[in-house]
Amino acid sequence: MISHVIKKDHKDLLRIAKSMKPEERLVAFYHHSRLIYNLYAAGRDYRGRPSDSSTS
Amino acid sequence: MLPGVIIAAGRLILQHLKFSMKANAPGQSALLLLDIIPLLEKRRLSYAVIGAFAASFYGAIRASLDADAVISIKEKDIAPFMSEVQGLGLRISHDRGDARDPVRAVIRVEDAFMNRVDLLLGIRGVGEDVFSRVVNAQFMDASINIVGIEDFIVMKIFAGGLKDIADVNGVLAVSKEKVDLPLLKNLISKHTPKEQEQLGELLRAHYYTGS
Repeated sequence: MISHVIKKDHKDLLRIAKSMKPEERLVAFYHHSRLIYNLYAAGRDYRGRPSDSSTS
Repeated sequence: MLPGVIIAAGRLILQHLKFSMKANAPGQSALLLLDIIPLLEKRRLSYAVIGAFAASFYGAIRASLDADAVISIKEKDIAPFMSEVQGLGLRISHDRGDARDPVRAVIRVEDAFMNRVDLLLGIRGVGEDVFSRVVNAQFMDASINIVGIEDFIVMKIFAGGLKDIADVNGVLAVSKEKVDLPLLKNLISKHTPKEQEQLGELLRAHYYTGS
């Protein structure tokens, strides 16, 4: 099933990408990758945490 | 006494190297690539940046935890290059693909922050002429060679995964005016009929349906 809302959202993102210069997209790629790494690291820390299964 | 002095000097050198590296924290594989490029250039080794870096340059921005480039290097030059990279305090490995593997070999560089650069040697169907079509771009005050848009599209169709085709769709949606169609069709003609048909479908979707 195609969501028109998601499709419109995707088109908007492409429009934004198109409005940027290629070099600006490279800088965005760099910052985006750093943020994704931070998310990955937060998830890794979360997975490493002992699970709280105690009931009080 | 003497070993202590040597260890202290070694630490100082390593500290200096760490400070002179652009990549100095996690999530900076793009900067690690910028640290490697001068070593390639010093040895006059041709390279072309590919992967998410190139996908973002030409199309929809997407993240990646590593950075990829295809390089041209002779067998005899691999060991000296690897030893120079190691001299920067980086980990480096060299894996060869088997006879069926579309990539002949990969030189993998990693730093202490888990940043990673893959240098691909000999991708099937990609000739040395790929290096004559690179596009020079500025990134973080450095000059880098990005694979040509037509070569990028053909490499992605050859790779054939869902993410690869999504990258081609992103590139065509953002930069289709930049594509040299006769060159693209010439490059894909060296590939299988299935890959040629895949390109045909993508071109129809982006050039002839108004999307």
